[in-house]
Amino acid sequence: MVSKLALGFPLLSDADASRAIRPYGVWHDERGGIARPAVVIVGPGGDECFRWVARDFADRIAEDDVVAAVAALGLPPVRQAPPAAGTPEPGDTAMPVRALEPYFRGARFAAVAMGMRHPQVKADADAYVAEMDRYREAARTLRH
Amino acid sequence: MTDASAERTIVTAPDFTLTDQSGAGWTLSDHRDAAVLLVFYRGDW
Repeated sequence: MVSKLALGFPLLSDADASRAIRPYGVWHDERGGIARPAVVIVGPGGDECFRWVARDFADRIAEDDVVAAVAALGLPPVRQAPPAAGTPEPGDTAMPVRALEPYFRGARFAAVAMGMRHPQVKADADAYVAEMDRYREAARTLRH
Repeated sequence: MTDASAERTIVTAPDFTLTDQSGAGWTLSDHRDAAVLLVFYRGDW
């Protein structure tokens, strides 16, 4: 997946959740047991200086919040060569880039409707709508 | 959205060694010269 998506960072596997997922307290006993989506920033000295942990598999942190947390460390910028272009190897379930914007638009409409119908989840729905708007904007900037 | 039960004070991040996509070991404490952004995710699908 690193080459497929031309990622500029390593992907580490903690298949039995024993080395990082449980020690960092992000294990979730739902859906057969999975890691909660989470972001932890470890400072240069090895201290944990930021942590965000999802309530469940559907939560995502806003990208701007991650950037702000990193900026708050006040570290000098690091120049890093961009990752080499990978060769796309879409699997059977891959969604074409052109489908992403309408996909997120549909998810947005569903969240709007949920928030209207169920006032008790309005704040949660509004946050999800904002998330979908960010994803739609990102999808629009992707090269097709 | 943050799970309140997951909030905790600053602690030394637990060290670990995990295998990366090429099969090589990656150890957190080898990266004390920089900040490290750990993103936990459920994997590919």
